[in-house]
Amino acid sequence: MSSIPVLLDVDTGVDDAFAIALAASTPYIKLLCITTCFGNGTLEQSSLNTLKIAELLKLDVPVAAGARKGIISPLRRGLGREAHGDDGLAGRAGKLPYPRRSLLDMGAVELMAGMIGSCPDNVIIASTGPLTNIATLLLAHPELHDRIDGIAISGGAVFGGNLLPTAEGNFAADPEAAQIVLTSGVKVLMCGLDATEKAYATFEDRERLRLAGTRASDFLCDTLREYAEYYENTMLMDGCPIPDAVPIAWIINPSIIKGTPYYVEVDLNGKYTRGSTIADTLGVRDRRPNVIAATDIDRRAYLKMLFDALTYYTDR
Amino acid sequence: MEKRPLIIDCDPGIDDAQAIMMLAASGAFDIMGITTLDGSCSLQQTSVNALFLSELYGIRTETAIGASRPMVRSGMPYAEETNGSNGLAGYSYERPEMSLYGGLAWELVYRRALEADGNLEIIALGPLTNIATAVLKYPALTEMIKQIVIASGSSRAGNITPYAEFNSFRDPHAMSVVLDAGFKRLVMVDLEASRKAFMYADEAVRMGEYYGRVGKLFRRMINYNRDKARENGERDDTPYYSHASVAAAIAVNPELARLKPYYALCETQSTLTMGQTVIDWHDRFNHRPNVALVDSIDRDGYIKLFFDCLSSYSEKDGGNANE
Repeated sequence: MSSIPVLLDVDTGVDDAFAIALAASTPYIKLLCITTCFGNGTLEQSSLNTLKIAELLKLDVPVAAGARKGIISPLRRGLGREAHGDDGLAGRAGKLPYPRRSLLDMGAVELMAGMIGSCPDNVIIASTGPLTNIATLLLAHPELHDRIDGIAISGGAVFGGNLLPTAEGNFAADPEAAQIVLTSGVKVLMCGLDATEKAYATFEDRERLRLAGTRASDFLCDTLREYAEYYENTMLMDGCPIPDAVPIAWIINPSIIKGTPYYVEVDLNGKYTRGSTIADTLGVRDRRPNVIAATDIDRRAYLKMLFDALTYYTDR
Repeated sequence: MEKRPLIIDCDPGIDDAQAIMMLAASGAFDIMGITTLDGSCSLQQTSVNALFLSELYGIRTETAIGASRPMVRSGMPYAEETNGSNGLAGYSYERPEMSLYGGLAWELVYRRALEADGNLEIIALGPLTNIATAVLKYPALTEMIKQIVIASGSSRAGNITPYAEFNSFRDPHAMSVVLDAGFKRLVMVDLEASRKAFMYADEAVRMGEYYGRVGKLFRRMINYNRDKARENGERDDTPYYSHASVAAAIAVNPELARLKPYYALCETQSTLTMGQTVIDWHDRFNHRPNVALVDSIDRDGYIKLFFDCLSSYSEKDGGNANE
């Protein structure tokens, strides 16, 4: 079986950690590198958390840091603090040792470009944070566009929003970057709130995930506890969504997700709608679809995939 | 005096052609590269023009192509009315032989910045797409550049919309990224600077009075500009403006301009003021300055420098040049 080369860009983040764990555990994916972006917290925080998670999972992949803030938008401190905690890992980052491995001495975009350039096969890029690094990659490397088979994004929403009434956090954090990525001509798989809010884990589901029973899985499941409090007690949802692993799940097995092709752009100018994804659901704009939007997900299959990933990381 | 290492980022363009002439002729710079982008006309055309101008002015350096479109905006027009169909007033030349640098514009900029060890200067004569891409890809670049001079923005009236200047209107996002990037010294030569450093019509006419290949190009350009102005109903004694060459003059001789530090922003959202550069005159945003804006300029000194440079390429003909 041949595995798909994947580059992962993250702003770790409780659910980003699950995305990393899923991407690194499956034989379907060859994880080439991880790059970090501001988002759930500052760039420093997301980089440190990424290194800690990589070490917890005993990964041997290069990690490089990228954007400190959005292309235009000023940094909004702690976008995800309510759910992810002040340290981005539900207050538990301190329980992981300071990582022995460090960031590469090059920028995220240089690392990504080098990896794509030297990979014999075409790659897929997966993103779980603001799209600043990936937009910069696409701007700076037009020669690599046709080496990228797809960009799988955790972000956006055909309908609804979270940070704003109609805007999802990763897109709202850098609307210009999202617009650059969506209109680049590279195929985009947009895992927006339409699907990711359905990719939730109830208390019972989380107890089942815990049965994986390794040091790594225990840590990840622990972080879900405080994270879930926000979604269940404040947002009154049935469980906590784990959005950021959805694009990885899509790469592994597209059949568990329902995708609908749309022409989608990002609003850059609205007083209330800046950062919103405008999907032409009515087909009134007469443009060819540039995005396949995830609109539904087989939640059971997704959680099974996450469980399998957690059992991969043995204590040896 | 030691020559200062310089990268010229440009979209030639008539005024860029005038500016590059000054940068080459002044002897102030060791030109370490030319990078091109779309703006006055397409990327392909500005790149061929840049190669032609390098050869014409005797600049021995590498040219790298850059952005073929603005970062975010699409469907933006070129400035063909101002610069002619090929960007150089329709002046036809033999396709230049010199070849292009293997990498893209931002890679050349970064490479030269590393080599120059903190001494590299940049002059950006067109939209700022290339420079913005460079600082987004290489965040450390801003610390490595000694000074960047930009011919962009408008602190008062614009030239493409009431308040926006062409370069910052064409790629306002890039302008915003560059203003925000944290360059140690960012000299903003806005439209007001070029208005203050106007050329009297009879001075501008002198541009067409030189022998030689350079003279021939300048004659074609000034005649084209003056014919267009006439078509647009302007009087023959209307002053002439060359925005890019004012930036070049200030880069060559900083003493020509008095600069003042301000915090400047570029509007990227409004439909009415898109691309307008907002200067925080009265410190309303309470933000540390990010530009050195031209406050006043020695007009006569600029004119003298311009013609000193031009005449270094050819003898003046006294008004009857017809090579």
